[in-house]
Amino acid sequence: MSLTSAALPLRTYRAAGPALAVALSLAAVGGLALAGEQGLALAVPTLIFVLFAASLNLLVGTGGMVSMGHAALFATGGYVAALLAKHGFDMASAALAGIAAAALMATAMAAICVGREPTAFIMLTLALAQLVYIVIWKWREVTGGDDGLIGFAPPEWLRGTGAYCALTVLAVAGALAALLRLTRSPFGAALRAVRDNAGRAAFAGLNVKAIQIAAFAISGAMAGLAGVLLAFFQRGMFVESAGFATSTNALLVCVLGGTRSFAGPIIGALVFRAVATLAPSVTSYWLSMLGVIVVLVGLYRPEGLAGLLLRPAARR
Amino acid sequence: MTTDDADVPVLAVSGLVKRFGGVVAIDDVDFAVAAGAFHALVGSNGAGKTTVFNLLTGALRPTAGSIRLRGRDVAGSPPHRLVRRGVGRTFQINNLFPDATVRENIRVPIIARHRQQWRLFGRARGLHDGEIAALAETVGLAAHLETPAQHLAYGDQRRLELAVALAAEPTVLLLDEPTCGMAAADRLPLVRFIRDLVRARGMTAVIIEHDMDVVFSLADRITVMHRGRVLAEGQPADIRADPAVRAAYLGTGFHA
Repeated sequence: MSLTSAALPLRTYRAAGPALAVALSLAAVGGLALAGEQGLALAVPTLIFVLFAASLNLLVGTGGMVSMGHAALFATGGYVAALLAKHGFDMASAALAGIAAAALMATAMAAICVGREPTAFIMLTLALAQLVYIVIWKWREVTGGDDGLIGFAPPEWLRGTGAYCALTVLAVAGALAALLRLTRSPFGAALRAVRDNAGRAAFAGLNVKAIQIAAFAISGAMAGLAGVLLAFFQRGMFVESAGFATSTNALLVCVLGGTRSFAGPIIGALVFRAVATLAPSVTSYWLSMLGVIVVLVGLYRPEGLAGLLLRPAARR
Repeated sequence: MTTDDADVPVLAVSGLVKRFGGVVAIDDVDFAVAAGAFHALVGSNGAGKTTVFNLLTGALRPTAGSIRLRGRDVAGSPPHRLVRRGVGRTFQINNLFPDATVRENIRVPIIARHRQQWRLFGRARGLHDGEIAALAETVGLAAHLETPAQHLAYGDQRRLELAVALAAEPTVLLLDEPTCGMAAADRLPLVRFIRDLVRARGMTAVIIEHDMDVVFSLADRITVMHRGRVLAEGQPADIRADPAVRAAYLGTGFHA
């Protein structure tokens, strides 16, 4: 009896999560828009980070695959698009190629990493991402190395911050809606079954490895889109985008927000960006403090900020 | 083809060998299961029964030998492909999706059966609810559809284990000690229930079971394993009278 009634708030929570995430995102963008040009310039990377974190959470939360190499997919998308744009391709073609390249990179990464012990999986994703980082850093003639890859721009009509922010809002909203539908689809149900018990999922008739690789490819495409959006916003790609901190910051906000809800990484990313923008003027130790908070959340509130905000009744 | 040929056993194992390093776990095992049979696989602990199941379901790859499913050799096929060919399995230790509800647990194999795992859009919720309800009703879990599997009582988890296996619509069902951990008095009724279900659905079943009273009263045919080999195979009456079986089981709780 008590179990059946406990299922009710959970359902409400599932429905309220995305709504709250949308409300917070809109509030963030709206608030920044009031601050004018400078605010919009903060809103764009924030939205890109939100999408990047949500794409990672398809693997971490829905798929149970803790990847430490998500930056490689982000950077692949951004660099491929930047290279093509620099060589005269229009933005749309460059963007599509960047997204496709990121999906391909994700598929290759998954083919190598998936189906292994969790520790081996984490180390392999990390190692492959470092490999991508080194290639970008050392292959100066193509990537520009640590000078970055510059010398391209979005088309004339997208060069204003307002216009680019509008494009980013549309692209990120569309991608998040697709991710939300995906997690609720039969594919999402199969991915959760694989996460919860891969052995049994195989005996239920699911090709575990194929499902995990497909999840990687989709997640990679979304991370690639985030990279593309950043490339054209910055009018350049820089090697830090492939760095270790890019991967771990995304993982950090997934844990902070709660990996088991769709809203979790979105809320986590917004909070992270807010703290990263405001805190440095107060203390230079803000990143360490955020780290301590994430450890505490991981230990005592594994449902994350999303769970704290949305399901107070479930707290014991 | 040979699929509907009554002379071809549904499942035929011959010369099956499984070695783990230097240990021979399964040593030249042969047996055949006729269509529609309720076939018991018995033997003391360590006889190799579960290893045979792991080989039959693709969890392990045989070192040698063939496994024929309606005449087609399937040895070494991965589990998900064998499930598509009609091999279903329940586990000795409950093996469920613990956070998911009863409904979601049963939905997984139905989605796989319809290959809907590749549908990226559309909703999983509500999918196959009619079939799920009917299966839950069959195994007696109709009242628990929204309960997470991990919160079910142990006996109900055993029932869910059965429902998840049935949801894949197997033609051959491998039952690994479905009464494991249940009180002695509950075993015979549960296995009788499963046997009647298997018959009603036109399935063939192989059951691993330790309770010999249950085996002798319900199985059509019995294969006895001992230390990785087949010790005897036959009708329950023959097995009961077999001196080799009696000798091997002496002092291990064999009630003839």
